[in-house]
Amino acid sequence: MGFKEAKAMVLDCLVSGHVLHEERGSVDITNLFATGLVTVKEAAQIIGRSAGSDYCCSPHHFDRDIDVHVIRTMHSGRRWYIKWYFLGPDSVFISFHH
Amino acid sequence: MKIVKVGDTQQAACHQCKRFENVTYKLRDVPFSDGKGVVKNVLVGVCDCCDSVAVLPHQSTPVVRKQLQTQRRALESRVPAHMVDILNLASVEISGGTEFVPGLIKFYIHSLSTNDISPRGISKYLGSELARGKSQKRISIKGRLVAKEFDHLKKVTKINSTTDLIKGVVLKINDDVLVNKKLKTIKALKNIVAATI
Repeated sequence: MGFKEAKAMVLDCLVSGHVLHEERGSVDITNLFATGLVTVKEAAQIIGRSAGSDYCCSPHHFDRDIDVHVIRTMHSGRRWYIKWYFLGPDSVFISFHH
Repeated sequence: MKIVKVGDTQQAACHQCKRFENVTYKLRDVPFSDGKGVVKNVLVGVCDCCDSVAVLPHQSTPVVRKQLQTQRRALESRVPAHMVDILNLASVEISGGTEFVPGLIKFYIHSLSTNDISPRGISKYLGSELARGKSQKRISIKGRLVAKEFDHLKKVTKINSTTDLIKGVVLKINDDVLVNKKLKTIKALKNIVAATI
């Protein structure tokens, strides 16, 4: 899966509300999307304006068939780091911070 | 919006088991990752194998936000207009702009409450000419620690009024950064600016 397809899919998930946040026994306060400090609309804007040069992808540590997508992009003067993967119909966000 | 219910199940990555496992949605009290506070009674996906929290559905984020903000109690006060000018000037001195004002106040509240900067003498500022004036502008500071540290500082300085203590902190900043230009403090502040702005 390339950048355009991953971006289109994650934006679809944001629109349809198929969004989960990966946690490790606690609520990760650095994940601003999980803590509600970034809204769905803001998340879609940040991801939507990212470019292919902001994107990279690597296999998930637990299952190499699952791609983990990473966007590092500037938005409103901040450098954002966003990491997620797709699981069935859902986007599962691992990181969303600046 | 996808809505999950208590008892629903799905697959999720479990970092305790280090593999994808079946999770069941349950209501749990879940701590924040920095150990400061708990989100009570929130719907999360719990690993069927090890019982640890593996996933948070997006529908639970308003509850997380509410409880996080409750713990990030804002510190608010009205002060004379020149106090805000002092903070702006001090911030410009350190960072070149006014965006560091909240960070500057938080740095001082933290340093004074931990005695990294001595809080002795804060009360003496309240008798100075600069402490006077009609309170016309509002100062509002938010942070996970700031309210707790400010309460501690009240006890240490024996200044019970929030407004008076904020005035004392602002005038301490004035003394250190603008009047005496304490190099050690300014250097520490500039390091924070370099790391955050």
